[in-house]
Amino acid sequence: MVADRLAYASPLRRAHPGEKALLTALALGAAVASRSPWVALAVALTLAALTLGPGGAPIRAYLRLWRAPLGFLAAGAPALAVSLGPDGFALPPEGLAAAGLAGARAVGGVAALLFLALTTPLPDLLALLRRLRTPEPALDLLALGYRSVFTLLRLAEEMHTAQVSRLGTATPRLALGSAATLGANLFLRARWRAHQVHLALVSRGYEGELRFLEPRWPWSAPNLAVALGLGGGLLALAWTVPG
Amino acid sequence: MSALLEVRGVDFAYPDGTRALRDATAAFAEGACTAVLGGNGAGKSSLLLLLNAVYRPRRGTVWFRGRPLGYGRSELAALRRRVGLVFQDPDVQLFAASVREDVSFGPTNLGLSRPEVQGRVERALAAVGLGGLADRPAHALSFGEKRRACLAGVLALEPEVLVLDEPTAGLDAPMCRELEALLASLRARGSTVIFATHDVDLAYAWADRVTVLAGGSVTFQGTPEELWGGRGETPGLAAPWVREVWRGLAARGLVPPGPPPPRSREALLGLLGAAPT
Repeated sequence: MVADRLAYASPLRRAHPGEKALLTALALGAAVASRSPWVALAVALTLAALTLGPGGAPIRAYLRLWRAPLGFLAAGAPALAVSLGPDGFALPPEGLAAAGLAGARAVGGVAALLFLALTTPLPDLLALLRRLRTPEPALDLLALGYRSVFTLLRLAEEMHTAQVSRLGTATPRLALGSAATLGANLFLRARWRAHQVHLALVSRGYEGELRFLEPRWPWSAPNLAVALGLGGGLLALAWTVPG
Repeated sequence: MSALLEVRGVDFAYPDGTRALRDATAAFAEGACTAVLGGNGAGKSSLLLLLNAVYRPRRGTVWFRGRPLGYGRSELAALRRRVGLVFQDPDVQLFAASVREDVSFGPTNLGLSRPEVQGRVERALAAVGLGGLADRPAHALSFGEKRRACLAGVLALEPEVLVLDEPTAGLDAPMCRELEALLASLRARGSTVIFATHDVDLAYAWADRVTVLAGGSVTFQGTPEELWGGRGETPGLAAPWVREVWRGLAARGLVPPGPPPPRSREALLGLLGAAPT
C-alpha cells in the first residue's frame, strides 16, 4: 500500500516504464551475476540512491520497506554460513563467504526491484507487460487483483472495527473466534463482490476480455542513456570483478 | 412522447428463489427523466438490470424502441451501447487500475479506434469534472469521485438512455447538488434518463415521470403532479416536503394561489422571495 502511494507520487512516474524496467532488469542481472559481494552491494547502493534521489522516495518510508526483505534474509542467510560436519556445527570461512555473497546479491536484487516498485504504479507496469505480449488472462488477474486488494482490505478493516467496537477482541479467545468469522465472511463477500463486478462488466459490453485504452509514454533519450549506461556498467562490473 | 423502453408482464426471481418482480409493466418515455420510486427490496435494482439485459425475465418481455429484446450476443452488444447502466456501489463498477482505463473500458469494447476512444474518455471525464484525476487509481478517490468516475464510464458509451441506480445514495449534500446539476444538464440536452431512488424529494424535484414499485409490482405510473397532486395521501409513499410546506402555507393564505407548487427547495425559496410578505 505504501509502495503504491509512493509510486504515484514519484517524480519519475511520468518516465517511460520501459526505461525504468530496463534499468531494473540490468541491475537485477548484475546483482545476481556478481561474484564479489562488493559488486552486489554497489548495485544496491546505486539503486537506493536513484530511488531516493531522482525517484523522490522519502528515506523513512524507504527504510521501513526494507524491513520485511531484511527479516527474511536474516532468517535465511545464517543457515548458509553454518555447516554440519563430523564435529557438530561449524562456521567454515567458505560458508561465511557463501552466506555473505548470497546476502549481498539478495540486497542488490531487492534494491533494484524497490526502485521499480517505488517509481512505477502498477497500471503502468501492466501496460508495459501487455506490450511485451504477456498472456491476457495473467494481466487481467493482476489488474483485478490489484483493485480487489484495496476494496477487500477496506472491507476487512471495517469488519474488524465493527468487531472491536462490540468487544469481539476483548480476550485472546474471543479475538481468535472473531478473526475466524471475519475470514469466513470476507470469503463470502469476495464471492458476492466478484458476481457483482461481473454484472457491472457485462453491462458495459464485456465479452470475456478486459480491454482498455493503453497509455503511451514518450521515450526519453537521456533516461535511456542513463538506464543503459548505469545498468550496463553495473553488469560489466559483475562480469569483471572476481569473487 | 413515445415509449423508448418498456417492460410488459415481467416476472423475475433470483436463483435463491427470492421473487424480485411480479407481473411488472412499465413504459419509459423517450427524452424524459423518469424516477423509479420504491422502498428497499421493492425490485428497483432488478428492474434496472432487466432494462440493460444483464438479467433476463422469467416471464414477460422487455421492449426497446418497439421491439422485444433479443438475448443473442450481437443483440446484447447493440443494446448495451444504447442503454447505459450506472451501478449503486462504485466499488463494484470500478475494476480497472486507473480511472482513465476504467472509463475507456466501455468504448474499447465497442471496437472504436484509439483516437475516438480517447476523445470519448476525455469528454466523459470532463462532463463529470474528473479530468484532473484521470491517472489516479480508483482506491485513491473519494466516494463521490468514485461515483462520478462510474458515471463517466457509462457516459463514454454515449448511450441513448442513461439508467442510474440510487445515484445520490451515500453522497453528502454538496455532492448531491453536483449530481443534481449533472442530471439537469443531461435533461437539458434531451437525454432519456431513468433513475431508481427511495428519495421522494429527489424524484419530485427532477423527474418528469414517476414509476412507483412496491413488492415487485408497478403500482403507479404518471407525472409527479398526478402522483402527489391529489389532496389525499399516496399509500406507502411520503409526500415531498416542499409540497407539504407549500400546501401548509397556501392553507393559511400565506402564499398567493396563482403559481403552480414549487418542486425544489430553490424554487420554493424563489417563490417566497417574490411573494408579498
